[in-house]
Parts: sequence; C-alpha cells; structure tokens
Amino acid sequence: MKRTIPIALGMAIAAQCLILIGLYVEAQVPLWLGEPIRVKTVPVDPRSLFRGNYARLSYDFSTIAQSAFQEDQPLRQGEVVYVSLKKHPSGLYVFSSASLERPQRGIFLRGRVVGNRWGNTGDYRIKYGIEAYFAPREKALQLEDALRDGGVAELMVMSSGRAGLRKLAGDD
Amino acid sequence: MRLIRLLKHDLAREAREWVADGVISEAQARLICARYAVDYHGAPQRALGYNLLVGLGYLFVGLAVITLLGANWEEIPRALRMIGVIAITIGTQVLALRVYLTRDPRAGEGLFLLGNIFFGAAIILIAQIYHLGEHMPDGVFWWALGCVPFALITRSPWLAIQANALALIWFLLQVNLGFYPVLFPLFLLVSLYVLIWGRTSIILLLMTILSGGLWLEYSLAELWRSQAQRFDLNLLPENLAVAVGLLIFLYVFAHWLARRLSPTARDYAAVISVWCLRFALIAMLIFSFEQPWKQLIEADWHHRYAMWVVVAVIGGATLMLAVPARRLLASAIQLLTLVAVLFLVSHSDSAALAVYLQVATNFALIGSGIWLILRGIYAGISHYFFLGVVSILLVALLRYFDLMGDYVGAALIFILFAGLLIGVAKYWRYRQGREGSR
Repeated sequence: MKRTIPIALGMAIAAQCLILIGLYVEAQVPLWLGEPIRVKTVPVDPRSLFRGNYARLSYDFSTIAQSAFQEDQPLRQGEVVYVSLKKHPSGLYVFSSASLERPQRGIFLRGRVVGNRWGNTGDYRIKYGIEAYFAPREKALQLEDALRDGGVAELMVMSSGRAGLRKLAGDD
Repeated sequence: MRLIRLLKHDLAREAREWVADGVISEAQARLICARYAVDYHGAPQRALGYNLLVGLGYLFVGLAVITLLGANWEEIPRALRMIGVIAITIGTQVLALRVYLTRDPRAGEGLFLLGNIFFGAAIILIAQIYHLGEHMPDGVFWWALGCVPFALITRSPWLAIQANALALIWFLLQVNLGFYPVLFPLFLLVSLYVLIWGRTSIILLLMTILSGGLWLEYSLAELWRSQAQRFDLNLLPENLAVAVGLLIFLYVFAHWLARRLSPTARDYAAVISVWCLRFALIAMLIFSFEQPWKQLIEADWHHRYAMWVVVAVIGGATLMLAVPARRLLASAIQLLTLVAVLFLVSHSDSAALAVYLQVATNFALIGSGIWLILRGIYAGISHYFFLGVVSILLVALLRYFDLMGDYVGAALIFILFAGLLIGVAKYWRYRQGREGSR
C-alpha cells in the first residue's frame, strides 16, 4: 500500500468534518449577522420521513403573482428571485415588490421559483429556505393547531437576502 | 457475445469438481479460470454473500441512527446530539481507517460505508437544528461529495456506488425541482475512474451508464428549455430519439469492448449487451401499443433540428466504432430504422400512421423473438432462448387483451404470427435435415 493512502484517507475524514462545520457555520451566519424581522406564517403538513417531524411553513409572500415581476418572458423553475418586504403598521413585514435584480436597499429575501400554479399564466410559488420548522411530532402537531389561523415567525435576514428562521411564536 | 462470463464464478466452482472427478487436470482448470479472469483457488472462499449481508447490515444500522434523529427527541439537548453524531461519524471513519490499513481492506471499506451513512445523518441533524428550509437536495449533494474522496482513494466499487447513488438522488431531486445539477459530471468521472482502475463491479457499471444517460438527456432538456423559455425542466419527445440513438451506440460499444483483451472489458461487454437487449425488448413492448405512437405523432417537436444534429453525432460515433467492432451492417440497419421512424413521427400529423407503426413493431417483436430462440439454440445460450420465448408469449398475451383494430383484424394478425412461427420452424427443420444428410 502506498504511503500516501493513509494521509489521503485522513484528509478525506477531515474533509467530511470541514463540510459539517461549513454547514453549521452557513446555518449560523444569518442568526449571528442578520437583521430580525417578524412575518405572518401558517404551518401546513408536519412530517418528513427521513428528516424527522417538522411544521412546513407558508408565508403570504410564498406565492407571488406573475405580474409582480414585470418581465416579458415567464420565469423558469429554479430562477433566483428577490422579494422586498416593507413594515406594516402592525409591526410585521409584508410583501412589497419582487424582481430578478437584487434590490439596493431595504429588507429583501432571496428565493427560488419552485412552481407555478396555473401553467405559465398565474402565480409563482417561491421558496426561501425558511419553510421548515423542526420539532418533535407532538410539538409539531400542537404548533399546527395553535397557529392554524396564522402565527408569527421571527426571521434573521442578511443584507444578501439570505434568511434564517429563528423562532416561531407559540414555540416558547 | 458469451454470456457465460456472467457466471464465471460458478464456472470456477464447477472446474474444481471436474478436477476432483479426474475429468480435467488442475493445470487445465487453472487455464480455464485464467481465461475468464477468475481465481481458481479463491473460488470457494469467495465471500460476496457475506460481504453483501454485512453491507446491508451496516445500511440498517445507519438507517436506525437516521430514524432515531428523525424522532427529534427533546429530552436530549440538540448540542449533545450534534456532538454525538459527529463523534460517531469521526469515530467510525477512524476505526475504518485503522482496519483498512492494518487488518482487512475489504472490512475497512465496509466501515467507511457505515461512516459515510453517519456523515449523512450528521447533515440531517444540522438541517433539523437550524430549520434549514425545504431545499433538501443541497444536503444530499454535500453527503455525496463527502463520500467521493473515499471512493477515489480506495477505488472501492462499493464506496463509488454509494457516492454515485447519492449523487443520482441529488440529481433527480434537483431536476424534479427544476434546477439543472451542473456538478453532476464530477460524480460521473469518479465512477468512471473506479470502473477503470478499481475492481470489477457490474452494479457500478450499470449505475454509471444510467447516470451518464440521464445526465446527457437532462443537459439537452436544459438547453432546449433555455431556448424555448419553458418553465419546468422536463424530458421532451426529442429526448426519446436521443435515448434510442444511445442504446444503439451502447450495443456497438459492447461489441467493441468484447474484442478487447482485458477480461474485465469482456465481462462488461456481456453485461452491456444483455441489458441493451432487455431494454430494446421492453421498449418494443411499450411501442407495441397504438397510444405511444399516437402521442409521438401528436407531440410538438420544437427542437427537431437540434435533435437531428445530436442523433447524427451519436450515429457517426456509432458507425465509427462499428468498424473495429465488426457490427457495421447491423448498426447501420438499426440507425436507418431509427432515422426513418423518427422522420415519420416527427413530420407527420396523420394519426392513422400510429396503427401501421404499431403493426410493424409487433412484427419486429415476433421477429426478434424468433431470432433469439434460434440464436439461443444454435449458440447454446439458454438466456436468449427463454428471452425469445417470453417475448413471443408476451406479444400474444398483450395483443389478446389489447386487440389491434377490430376482432377480425386481430385474428388476422394472430394468423400471420402463427404462419411466421410455423414457417420458421419448418425452415429450421429443413436446414437441420440438410445438415444431417451432409
């Protein structure tokens, strides 16, 4: 066996460690550096076979009308979009505008088009990576019950539009 | 193509019995085994079954850990669970490294497989703790990527299969969500590297071919999506034409491989050849119905010119390879048939054409069945013989349930099939009689 193989395998193990640390840091960064905002949310369908129990969250800005983008061509599935939010008098952030260009200022989320409801003529479904709230099964079901008519999610939003889900009102 | 290559370990075991019975000498048995690159002395100790069971056992250990994490126990603090799962991952990998280097490399590879599953469990746990959204493919990508170095360094087919299987899951999740997985060729190259430089593995070979085919098809689908400004990333009718072209290329490639000196190349040739045959028969069975032809005729062929270019490139490569593979005539006929049928379905609007194509496919199936039966008998290959019998019986059954035309039309087709079969049987008997009299 070559002498380099043990070193290479040791580096492969280290690489796995680095990937795990990288994923941890990437998940933490919005929580460390992001700006806190509160948005209205509704939990739906709490279960995932492999990833455990969670409440799947939906936001008002999870579905956006095609006309909001002011594009000549319909968007493609997977397209990166930026959704600006504005502060409502209630203190919650709500949808303001959407575009393919990154906004210069204000609070905005970076998302991707994952579906369209009515072929190429209707609304787009957008995901921002803040749609899963993991909790034990009973708690996930309780959350679903408690927030059936809508709850509040606390997000941490970075200047790049990346967001992390910090807390769900009712999960104290 | 000799399918006995697929049973070479049984052949080695049989050779030991021939030696014990005094039918052949041990030197001759060793020569027979060497011809098929199988170890005469190692045959009885071959531990495929043991390795497979241990591998499956490890898989269930990994699944147990992932399921436990999925239970999302609040009693155990998440930080503790995180440290626990990372410690299990690193501990298993270090143990695997030790076993691999000092005791038994194969057992070490098995433990690396288990360590890689724990690595995936750690990724799942991080996603849980930080409520990492709904884009699950990212986690699967990092999981697959973390397995790659182990496959590359050990050149273990099992580790390569693990990395490729995870990459394939990532690929399918991505395209299903409309994202084109740009980095997929990286995993393909890793599988190819292990296929060429590692131990023989039929599963890895089939997985690599499947992955390569999917990658090429979805790359074309992505190109055509961007040209047409379509929303989703779906396969188009043009992709089917490319798939048939690739199948013909693979058939010729198998014959080219069969002429190599390397026993591994010949083993792979036998596998590719037999799977090409099975796929061709399955495809013909699907197209023995009228509906698929109708759908192809009615389909919008928006990328006809690009499709012809791709088919021409694949056809050119096939013909170039067909010369050294000595399959020029067969591949030329197959390619011409593809071009003719493709031209008909992509340029015609006549739904009536579907019935003619359906009838032609049924006759092609019966013809293939007869050819397989005769080839099976002449060459003594039972697999071909039974495949031929099954094909003909399936055609009979399918056509009985799904009549072509009305009852009279179907009866006429059955009579034609019967005439064809009896005619070939009579001709065969006549040939045998002439050969016997010589």
